[in-house]
Amino acid sequence: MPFSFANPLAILALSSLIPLIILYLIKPKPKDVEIPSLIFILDAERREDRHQTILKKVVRDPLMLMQLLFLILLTLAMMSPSYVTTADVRADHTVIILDASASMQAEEPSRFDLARAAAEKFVSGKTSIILAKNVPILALDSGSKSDAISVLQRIQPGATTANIGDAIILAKSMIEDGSGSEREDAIVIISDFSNADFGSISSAKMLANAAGIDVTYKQVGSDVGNIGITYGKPERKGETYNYLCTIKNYFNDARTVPIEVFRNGKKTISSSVTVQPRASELFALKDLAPGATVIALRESEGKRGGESGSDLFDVDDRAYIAIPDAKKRRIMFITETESKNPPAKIAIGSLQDTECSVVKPPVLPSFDDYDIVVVGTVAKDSLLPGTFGDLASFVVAGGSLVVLASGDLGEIATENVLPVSVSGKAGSAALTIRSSSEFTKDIAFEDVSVGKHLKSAPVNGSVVTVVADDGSPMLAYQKHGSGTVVYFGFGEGDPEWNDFHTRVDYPIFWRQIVDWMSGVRGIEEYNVRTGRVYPLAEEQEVLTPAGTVTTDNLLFDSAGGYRIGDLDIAANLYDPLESDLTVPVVSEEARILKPDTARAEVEKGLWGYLTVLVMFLAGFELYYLRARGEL
Amino acid sequence: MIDTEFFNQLNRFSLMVRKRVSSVYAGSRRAVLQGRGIEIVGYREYMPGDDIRTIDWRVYGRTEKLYIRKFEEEKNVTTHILLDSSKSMDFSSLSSGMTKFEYAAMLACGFGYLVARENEKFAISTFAETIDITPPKRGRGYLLHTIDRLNQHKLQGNTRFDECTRQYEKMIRSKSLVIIISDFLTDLDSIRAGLYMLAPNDLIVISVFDPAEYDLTIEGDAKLHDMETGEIRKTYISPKLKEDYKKMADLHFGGIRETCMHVGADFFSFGTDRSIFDAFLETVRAR
Repeated sequence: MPFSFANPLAILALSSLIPLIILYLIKPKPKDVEIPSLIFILDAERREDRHQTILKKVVRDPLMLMQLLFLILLTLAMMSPSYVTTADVRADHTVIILDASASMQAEEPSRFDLARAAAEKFVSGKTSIILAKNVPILALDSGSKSDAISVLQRIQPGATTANIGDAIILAKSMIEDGSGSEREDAIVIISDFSNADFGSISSAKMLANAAGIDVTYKQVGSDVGNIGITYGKPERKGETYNYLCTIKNYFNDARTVPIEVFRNGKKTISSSVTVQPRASELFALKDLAPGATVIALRESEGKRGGESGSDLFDVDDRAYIAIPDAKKRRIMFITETESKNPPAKIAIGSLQDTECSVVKPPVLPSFDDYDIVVVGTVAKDSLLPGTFGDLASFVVAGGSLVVLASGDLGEIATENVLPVSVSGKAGSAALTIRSSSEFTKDIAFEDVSVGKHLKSAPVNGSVVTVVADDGSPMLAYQKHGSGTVVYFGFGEGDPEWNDFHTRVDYPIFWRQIVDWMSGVRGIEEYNVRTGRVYPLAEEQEVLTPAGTVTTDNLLFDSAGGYRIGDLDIAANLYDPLESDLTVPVVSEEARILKPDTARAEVEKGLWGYLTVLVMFLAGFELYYLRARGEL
Repeated sequence: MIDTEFFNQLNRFSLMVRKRVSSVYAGSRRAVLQGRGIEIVGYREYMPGDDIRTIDWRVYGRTEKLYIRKFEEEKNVTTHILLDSSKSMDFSSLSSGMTKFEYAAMLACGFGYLVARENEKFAISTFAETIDITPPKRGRGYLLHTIDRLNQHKLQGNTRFDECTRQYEKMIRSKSLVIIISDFLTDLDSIRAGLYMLAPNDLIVISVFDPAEYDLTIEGDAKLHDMETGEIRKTYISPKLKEDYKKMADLHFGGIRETCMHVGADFFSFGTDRSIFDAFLETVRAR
């Protein structure tokens, strides 16, 4: 056992022994005294502390020995000795990645509870904890043991998938940023590895290993069956919404599941569906009213309590549906076209939840009573002076304006409201989509045949979505104050100009652009899948299934209803892979839920022990003097 | 050396102390026990085993029956003084150089002087490992002879108190006054055994100590030689040890005092720094 000294020069402190030894040497010899009553001395000595007597027997001058030992040990402590030995070692900094996906909520006790208990065994001197959801969430950064235990007791799994690969990358960067030394660091992943992307996990593990970080898998959970809602979608049907969902049975036997439907808290339908083993069944609802609808599978609740083959996974047993309130949007369509029904007017007029008023210039009603103003074909002299000034004010105040291309548009004073500047007319052109937006979704602009168009250029700050091959924007928009102005280069629907108005996606385009401009999102925006991140304009309170949170970046990590201001959103797992609770075999070692230790050579310092010994000796010397009655 | 000036002091104060001292010796007391003596106290019929020399033939002549004479036992009481002459008695820390033995011997001679003056028998026997038994005799000449003997006596050996008293007890024929003068630096059980053996007698126990024995004057590292056994002990005399030493001494002498009370003996303890005359007077007054 080779010893080494961190501060070898401290041996010079041994010179302090010299005066002590000299004092001892020049100390007068004990007096020779004849005494008749030695028996009392012997009796008195017997009365003294037994240890003192032994000490006296062993050494002639215990005090001197204690002082010598004190100085020697003090010198040794100052030299900071250490020795190298082999010992079981654990990481200095352990990053624990806990799978917090929906499947971790399965079983009784839950897989997450098992993972949490296992994680406590891995807590080392410095511990970080990452929750692996669809995005990794840092729960603890380099905390102490007590911090780690406290965090482990607080955290809960979400209803999302788990991206363990990303969590490993985050852990690796944390370790690299934090240590930078040769210390032993480790990453421990505790998961059921159900629905795990082993490709990304292996890649991330290799990266961490390359950086000298040990990555260990620990697996919890066992194969269990499940029956749940693995897909669901509300769809608009005319004025109402329909809903269709898939109920999948992961058991090896057919199951009949009672279904209850609650609308705004009231049970409205009780039904049941029988699902064959490893198969799916569809379940549909019609005419969903605005508000919250919940579909609940009751199979799991009836058989809770660990009965073999019962459903032990709640997250997918309920589907939450949010249907927004229908609100009429008022649209003013300004046109001079002789035809009573230009295609654009027909398309806009046929939109649900809209009231379209067609007005002819020059006298126009107040714009303030409308949500959207559409300027169609107008002659350069038709509009009263100041009309575009009023429109500009309307937009600045939050209104929406759509300006359709027409022959005289280039000559009308538009008060710089348009997102384009028109310079003339041009002939045929091929179109391309420059950037997609919500209102261009599913519209094949490339197939539109253009015979004539306005030559124009985008102004500063405008966003061009569809452009002609001569660079003229065909569809562009720009924020103007609180409102938005859209330039629609296809006109009202003149066959000489283009054939867009004859295409099937023409009315779809108008629905999408009117929805977009009036702030009405698609139904899918009200019904999201868990794991989605929803950026908010500012930090605000959000009511979630787990309680109220204040955030500017909301993560839908639980299934259920969310309320952001006056906006209701439903979040559901809808993930057939996450609902499949089969646990893949990772390795035998992964099933052993305790820390791996390795035999390694470690340097053990003796400074602490020696200091304690010196303190003890000093205390003992004081005790000895006190026992002798000299203190 | 025994100072005879002490006897002159005793002479001067003899008038004062006579009355009290008279009870110390047995001359003025009548014995209650019957035994061999001079005065006839009565007769009884002869029983087989009786000494035939005690048969009164005159009475036989008159009555033709055998009667024996009953005598009053001798009423004088012998004083036995046991003086410790072990090596530990040769200790003195006083500037005068008076050892415990000298002090004890003067006390012993003081008692001898008083007894001799009343023409009673006394004996001063010295003891250590063995006892040097001296037969009781009368007369001042005998006292002077004893003083001379004590002056010549060489102090040596341990104290075997129980053994010595056992031997001496066999020599005492009738109830006597026994005075023991010693430093009692020996095993307490041995002392107890000895005192119990002498308990049937009228017993006076006098403990003599040197002041330095009771309050240890030494401190620090010391090499202690036991005066009797020669045992050497190297030790550190700390305040705590001194305190414990004193407790042990108190316990030891307390034990002797308690035993004395139990056997009905008078116990006195004198330091050698105390005037012998005062010590003697205190002993006498107490009786």
